[in-house]
Amino acid sequence: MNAALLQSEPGHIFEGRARCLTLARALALSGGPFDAPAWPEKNLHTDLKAANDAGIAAIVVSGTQWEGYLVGFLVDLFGMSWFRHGELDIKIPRSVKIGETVQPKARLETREVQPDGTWITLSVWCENQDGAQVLVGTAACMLIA
Amino acid sequence: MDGKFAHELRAGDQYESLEFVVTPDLNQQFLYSVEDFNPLYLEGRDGKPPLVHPVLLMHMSPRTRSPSYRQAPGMGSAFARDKSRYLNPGYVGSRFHVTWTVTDTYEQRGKIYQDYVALVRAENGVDILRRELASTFFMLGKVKTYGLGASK
Repeated sequence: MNAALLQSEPGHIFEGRARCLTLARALALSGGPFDAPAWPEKNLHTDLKAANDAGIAAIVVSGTQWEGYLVGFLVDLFGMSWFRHGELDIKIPRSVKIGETVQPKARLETREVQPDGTWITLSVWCENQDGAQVLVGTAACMLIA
Repeated sequence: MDGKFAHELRAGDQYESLEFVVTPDLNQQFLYSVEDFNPLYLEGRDGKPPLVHPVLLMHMSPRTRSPSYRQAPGMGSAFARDKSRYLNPGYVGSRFHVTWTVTDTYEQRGKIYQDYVALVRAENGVDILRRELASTFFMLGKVKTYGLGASK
């Protein structure tokens, strides 16, 4: 999708794929390796009692899960350049519960041609099924010519 | 930092480092977790193995993965901010080494904040991912009673 980044006007919004955060996916991320003897590990991301013990009413999905959606989406946008030149600065303003749907999005902010390539900055966010932002921040990457 | 709870660490302190190997099974477990089956993570290219999905390296780089991480009883912690720089691709089959260095601690609005740098390095010495992470500590269910002794 590098061509889209190079040809779009600032303000253009790119949308990643929306995904439902199921318990199975949360266990895969936060439960430890599948072949661990006591899989899944019990923690507030995988176990209701552990969440209750931490003062939380329900299992809360790890923010890494939808930050992972976003970074995978940025790899889709920037290609291999992301692995050597990607920069991400984010906050997670609200939690996500099992069963919610999250979609990563990015808005092209600037594009600057430099000797080694094109430096691109994006505003990035993830939003839930209600349009509420569950991650906000910026991303930048040098697209090598 | 032997015996210290996490919130007691100060700038310059380090959590005990961690080593781990990314097997194809482990990488694919994380692909499943984020429903991302980009061939980059499944097929090698140019004679190299598949890439480790970034979410796996992100998952292994919070300080809670350190063998020395100890949270005080009755205390919770939460992620606040993440500034990540991707420096090089990591490959499936590689061993990775993670270090954590505390860069700042301070109190703000009744919470203890701890900033730290996590660095993921491959066994060949190549830096893969550098993260500047900010997190908070707080008492579960009541007003914080743990203190740093100095605030800003």
